[in-house]
Amino acid sequence: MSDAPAGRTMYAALELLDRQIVDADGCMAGKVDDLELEASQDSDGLPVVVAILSGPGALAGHLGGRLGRWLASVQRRLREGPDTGPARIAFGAVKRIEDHVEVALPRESLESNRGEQWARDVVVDKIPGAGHAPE
Amino acid sequence: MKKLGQITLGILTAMGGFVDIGDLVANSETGARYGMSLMWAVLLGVIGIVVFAEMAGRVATVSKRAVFDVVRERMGARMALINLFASFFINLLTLVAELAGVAIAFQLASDVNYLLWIPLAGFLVWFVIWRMKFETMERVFGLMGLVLIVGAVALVKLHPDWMHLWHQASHPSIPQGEGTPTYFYYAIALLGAAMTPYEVFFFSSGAVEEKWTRSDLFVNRSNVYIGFPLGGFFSIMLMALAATVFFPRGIGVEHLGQVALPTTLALGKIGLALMILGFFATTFGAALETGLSCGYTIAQYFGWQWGKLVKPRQAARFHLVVILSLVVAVLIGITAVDPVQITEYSIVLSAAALPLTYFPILVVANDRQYMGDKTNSKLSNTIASFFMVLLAIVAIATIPLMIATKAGQ
Amino acid sequence: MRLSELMGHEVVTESGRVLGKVHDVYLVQDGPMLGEWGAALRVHEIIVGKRSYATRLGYDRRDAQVKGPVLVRLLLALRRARHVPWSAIREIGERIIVTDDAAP
Repeated sequence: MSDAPAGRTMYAALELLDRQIVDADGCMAGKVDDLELEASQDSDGLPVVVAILSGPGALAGHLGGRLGRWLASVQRRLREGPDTGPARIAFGAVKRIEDHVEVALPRESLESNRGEQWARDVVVDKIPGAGHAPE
Repeated sequence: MKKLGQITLGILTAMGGFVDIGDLVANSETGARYGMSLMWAVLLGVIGIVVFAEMAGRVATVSKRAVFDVVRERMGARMALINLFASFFINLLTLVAELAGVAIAFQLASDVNYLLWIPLAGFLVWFVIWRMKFETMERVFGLMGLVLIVGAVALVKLHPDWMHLWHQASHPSIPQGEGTPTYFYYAIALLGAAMTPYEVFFFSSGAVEEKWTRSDLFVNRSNVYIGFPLGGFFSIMLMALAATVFFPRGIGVEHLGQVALPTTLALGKIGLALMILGFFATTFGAALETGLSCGYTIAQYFGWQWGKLVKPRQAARFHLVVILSLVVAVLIGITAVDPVQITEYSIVLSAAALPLTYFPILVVANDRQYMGDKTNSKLSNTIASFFMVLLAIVAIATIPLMIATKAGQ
Repeated sequence: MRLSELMGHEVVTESGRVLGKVHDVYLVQDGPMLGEWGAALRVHEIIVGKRSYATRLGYDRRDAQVKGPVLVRLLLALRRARHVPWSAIREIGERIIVTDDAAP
């Protein structure tokens, strides 16, 4: 099928789900809260993992039950714009899966980083010294 | 030689940092009420925290993952969320207690009511977290805590009947008129005071942040194996002071100020001043660790950037959680909740909740894929398993005992 | 479809026999090329079993990496989970329905 190291196997819940996502600069960028699967075009129809889902919208699905539904409604309300699905990282952007999931994008470009940006802009940056590493 | 200096410094820091308001209160209360009969519980707690912290530190060093990251990965998002709620709540209670401790230290030094000091305490804790380097923070308050040694000097000066104290400790018995359930309730309190979860969150997060390597493992094992037990010595010292001064007279300990009384009796104003400094250092240091742990637990569950090594604006949600936790803790504190009571609740609930964090760490410490060749040895597994059973029993027994004894009346 | 639509859902055979809940899915890297990642991961099997915490913790992996402590393994009565191939799935909804021969 390809010349990339194919044939690697893994258990999704054990090795992929709930793993730390690390961005291109080594910063922490959320957890793998869920995976997006797409039916394969091949005859065997095996679903392909096409994206990582991260953030409250994705976690809502992962948690399930009433808690999940409540979390999903919170996320929908917080989310601006017409697209109300959970924050998505296309699997093509994944560089490596080892201890954590390394992604080839900087945090800023990830939809799931919105919360961090909000906290920074609305609160943290307003406090003097936010830009200094502690001495 | 430099390495030896580093190791010594680490041990001294761990020793001075071991005590917090839970230990100050629990050891004095039980010393006053039961003499030295509950010393075994302190020893058990010290062994427990040594085992727990060593495992957590090893897991953090080798797998490069801090506690709550591991907890979510192993227990799954659902169970880990329940775990998070419980751990965070108890952390918050502990933070309130530590801030009250800092405020009371200020009160003892100034005669201004502690309630007025609580907001300042909260602000100072935040400020140090915001600006002071991790290592500096640890060193300063850890070493400052060593002034508690004045208590040992006071104890000697009080000329206790050492044989009698030793006899009480080695032949534990429940004094006349005291119930058995209450005795074990206080045993649990002592266990919880020694095996504080926030200590493990803090220790392990620090290990990940400072990117400990296997060569650091040795230095930090010595901190844990030697520093913590020496810190436990301070706990026993506090118990002995109370056992010598309060127990024979049937006086109970109800205010933190009383904890300094035996030392004041023996050494006068100097003794009191040093004790107050010791109270401040230990509770302030613990407040820093607990405040940070509030941030660590939540950030590590959700995968947010956390830590003191990055600029605050790079870990905005983490710092926001810390700030909010401190604000809430201050608000709870100024409602004049009884500091001794809230301390008791925090340590007893800590003990009951220990399995939540202990168990996942124990499992990961045995996982070859994470730990390589550094999995638990048969010996550490045996001791660790013993504690797992003990903590499970404690977890089940705590709430019934709390209700039955009306929280240790 | 999301992974969470499979996880935790009950699996029954066409004839109504309950096999348990989905604990995990087994992925193989044999799909189409995706950007930096390479061959995409595809779902080959679903892992089904009666409630078993031990599987979640890692005691049931094919290459059993977690062996101790003994006490934990004994307590978490490990029950071998079933590996059901994707091709055996007939329907995915609140419950997942599989062919009868998926469960020997």
